[in-house]
Amino acid sequence: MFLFKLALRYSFSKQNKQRQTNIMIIIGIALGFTAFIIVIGLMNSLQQSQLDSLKALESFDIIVDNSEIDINTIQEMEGVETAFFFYETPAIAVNLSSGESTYLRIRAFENDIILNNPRLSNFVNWSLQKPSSISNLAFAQKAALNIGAGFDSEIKLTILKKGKTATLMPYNFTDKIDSMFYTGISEINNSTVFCNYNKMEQYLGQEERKIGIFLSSDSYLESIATQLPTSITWKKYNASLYQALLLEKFIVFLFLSFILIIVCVNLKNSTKRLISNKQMESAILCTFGMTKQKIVHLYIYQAFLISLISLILGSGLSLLIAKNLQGIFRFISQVIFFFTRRTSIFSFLPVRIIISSKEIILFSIFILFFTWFFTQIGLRPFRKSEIMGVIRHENN
Amino acid sequence: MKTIKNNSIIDLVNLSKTFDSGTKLELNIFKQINLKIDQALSYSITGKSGTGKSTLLQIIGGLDKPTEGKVIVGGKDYSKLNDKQKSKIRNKKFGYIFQNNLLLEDFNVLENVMMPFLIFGNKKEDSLERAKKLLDRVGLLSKIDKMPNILSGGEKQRVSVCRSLMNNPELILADEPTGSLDEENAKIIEDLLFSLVQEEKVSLLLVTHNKEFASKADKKFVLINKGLQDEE
Repeated sequence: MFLFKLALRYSFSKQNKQRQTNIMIIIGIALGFTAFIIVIGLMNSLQQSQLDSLKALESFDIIVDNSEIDINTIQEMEGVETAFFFYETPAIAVNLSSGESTYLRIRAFENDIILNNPRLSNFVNWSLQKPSSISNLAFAQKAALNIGAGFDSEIKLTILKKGKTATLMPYNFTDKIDSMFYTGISEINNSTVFCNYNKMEQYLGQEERKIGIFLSSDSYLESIATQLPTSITWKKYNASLYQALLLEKFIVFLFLSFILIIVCVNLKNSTKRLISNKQMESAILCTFGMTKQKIVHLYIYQAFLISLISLILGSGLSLLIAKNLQGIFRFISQVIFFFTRRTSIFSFLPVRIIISSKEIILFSIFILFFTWFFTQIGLRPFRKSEIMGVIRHENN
Repeated sequence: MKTIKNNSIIDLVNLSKTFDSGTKLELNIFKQINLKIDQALSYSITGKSGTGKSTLLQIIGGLDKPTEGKVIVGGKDYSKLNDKQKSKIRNKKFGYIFQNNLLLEDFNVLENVMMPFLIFGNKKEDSLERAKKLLDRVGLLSKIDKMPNILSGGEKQRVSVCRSLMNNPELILADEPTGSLDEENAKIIEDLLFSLVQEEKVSLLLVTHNKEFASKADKKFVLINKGLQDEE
């Protein structure tokens, strides 16, 4: 405790020439830590919203590719929020009035799922008005645009279905667009059409059905997937994207760490300077019975103290920024608009930050480790020196 | 009250110090010095500049190493002790007063005085009374919360005297304690030092070039011709 008090005094005493440098280092680490939390938090938020959209519209939490499994059994499993049938099949769509065609994917859900289940319906934005049911075709806006189609356009769709003699045979049907939508995923916007569920059941038969599952929590993912042999989890379904997101996070983490390494190098230089400034004090303490080892501890405590204060300040600042992010983004956006007369990306960025305590703890440990490491390097000349020699020279 | 034992605090046995001049020639400061420092006595060492008075004092206080010979502290060879044992001896047995006082600039007067006591993990409350008593004795009780940079040279040295006595040491090592003071302040420190060591029953080893100051000691030595001679 005494050493800690001594370290505190040595860090911030008004008489200490090093005080200003220490304060600058604290500001540096605190800002670096804040930058880390905000950037990682924003990235978490962006990645999460991307994954949420994917899990809602594309892969759900789990897809079971076997219609023979009893949906009620799945529904009763612990952790399953909703289990539902759906159809998914590739198709060629031709706009009968313009003759333009495109390759797309048909998906069919029961009305209750696509329109009323918030896990899915919250991610679908309907053009003009939300339909009361999907009676015919609900086209993705961009996909409709690609073939020059609009509301009430007649579309001929060609799909492949199991034949009696051939494995697969083309099957054509014509339907009318009675609603249009868009989502946050451009792939879906370019190539998806929702079809009436009963019609698809009639065209493809019940054996082509798949089961989509929404879980109450991601923690059930692996246990449920193991119980359903023909299932595929959202992580596997979106494997390449998921890996890319993880890689992206790692790279950002790494580069942000470099900023802090630079700050820690400053800490090392500051420790060196401090030792040089405090050479006489160290010798006096040694004269009065403090061991060299204790003096080394004193300097290490001091460095840790600076880092800890920085981490606390950085955390506080991050929380403050996270709380007022919307206002900050609005301000930045207005400043950019003032100078460029263009709407900036800040107008569209999510106004939430997902702060992961694991990441913060990991990064804090990382900072503390580098504090220790660089302080040890800074202390190397001191360890080799003969401390009390300073007193000899002073008095001779 | 300190218990006075009859045995010596420190024995210097054939002590020699040589400096490496960087050439083939070695600079012999002093050689074959033998001295016994007993309890509750004052000793002074005078001599011309460069004769090695301060070096001898620093070797005795464990701040420097002899080239040859031994410093026996409490019956043990100081050079054979480990870092922790040496630190303990410096803390418990010795009190140091330097020419330039060497107060810690980041700490106030009271904290400076208590520092040797606190270094060994003692509680502040346990030393507060003694520190205040010592500061009162030197007339600085009203300045206990002042920082050293606003004190005069004489006041700083008085704080330094208190600090040296804080841990009830057996021996005070004073290296030119009045060397950087004006005549008036030097006189105050001289009187204070001798009366305090008498009150506290502490031994004093004083190194000075001031013969009048040195003459007040019980035993007087002069460092001359690379050896220590009894002045009486």
